[in-house]
Amino acid sequence: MSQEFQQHWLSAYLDNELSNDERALVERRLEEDPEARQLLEDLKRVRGLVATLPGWQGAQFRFDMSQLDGQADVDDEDIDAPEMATLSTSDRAATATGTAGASAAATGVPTADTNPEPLRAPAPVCPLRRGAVCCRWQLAYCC
Amino acid sequence: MCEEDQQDINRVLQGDQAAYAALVERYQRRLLGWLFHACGSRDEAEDLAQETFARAYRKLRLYEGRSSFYTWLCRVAMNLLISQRRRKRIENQVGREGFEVAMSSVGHEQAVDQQMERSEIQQCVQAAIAMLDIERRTVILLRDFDGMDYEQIAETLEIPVGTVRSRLHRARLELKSILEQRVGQLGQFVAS
Repeated sequence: MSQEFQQHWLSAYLDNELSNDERALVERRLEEDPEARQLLEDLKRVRGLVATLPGWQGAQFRFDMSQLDGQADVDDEDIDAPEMATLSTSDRAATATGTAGASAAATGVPTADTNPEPLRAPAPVCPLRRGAVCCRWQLAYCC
Repeated sequence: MCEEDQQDINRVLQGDQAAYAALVERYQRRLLGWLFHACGSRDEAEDLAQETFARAYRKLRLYEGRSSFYTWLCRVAMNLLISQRRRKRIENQVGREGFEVAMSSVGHEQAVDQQMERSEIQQCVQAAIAMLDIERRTVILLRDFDGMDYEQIAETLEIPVGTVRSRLHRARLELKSILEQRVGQLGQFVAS
């Protein structure tokens, strides 16, 4: 096999997410390279620090079941579509050609816009507008 | 997929709205945990969780059971989180301000959020995480805080496993760099 060691494998090595071949290459590198060993130790510490962050301690969270008025799977228009106000040119083109949200269609998950560059929206549409349910963002043009 | 989840989902789809409360109860703390660290705000995390559960409910019929319900739920949350961040366009400002506030509070009696009773180290780490861009922040939280494996992260973020690997590594390197700059050698941190 002709693979070469890649530094980002060190993180995957820590997480036991490498193939056998990749793991062997990492272990060989670790034997030979003190910098790689030091980096592995640092990565381990970073991982440990994040792991020890406190979990959710807010006892008061209560899901507002009143938000569930109506049936599940209410299929309103555009509820999954990216917001036109934040779509980039490429996103808008993709939307026009029907490719936007293709992955959402495949996975069944509502998508968000995926490009950070905004365009002025000719006609802003509230992403949550659906029947009598009011958007909680209280946008001026909403509901 | 968890059999209990599937049973609850079936009940919801048959019109039993109350069954959804069981799903919410099962996953709300776990979801809120990483959302809190991703948002840096309890209120924002709660709002996002509310919206995530509401949207997931409305779209429940689209859930096909290919991934776990929790992974699917996290994907809904991620889409909302990214959408929200881009709408507000204040991600960097919030991150840096948050970091400065947290760092300045270290060693003082006043904590950033007294209710959370975080240690000084945890405050530093939280503040450093807030400085990462949203993609790196979420990948490191899903892996190192929530405990997802790479496959689950890939499903949640809708990216290839190879991208999870490289993005996670870059996130850890950046976090290491931020912590080293602010506090000196990483070895000074002692994970409690």
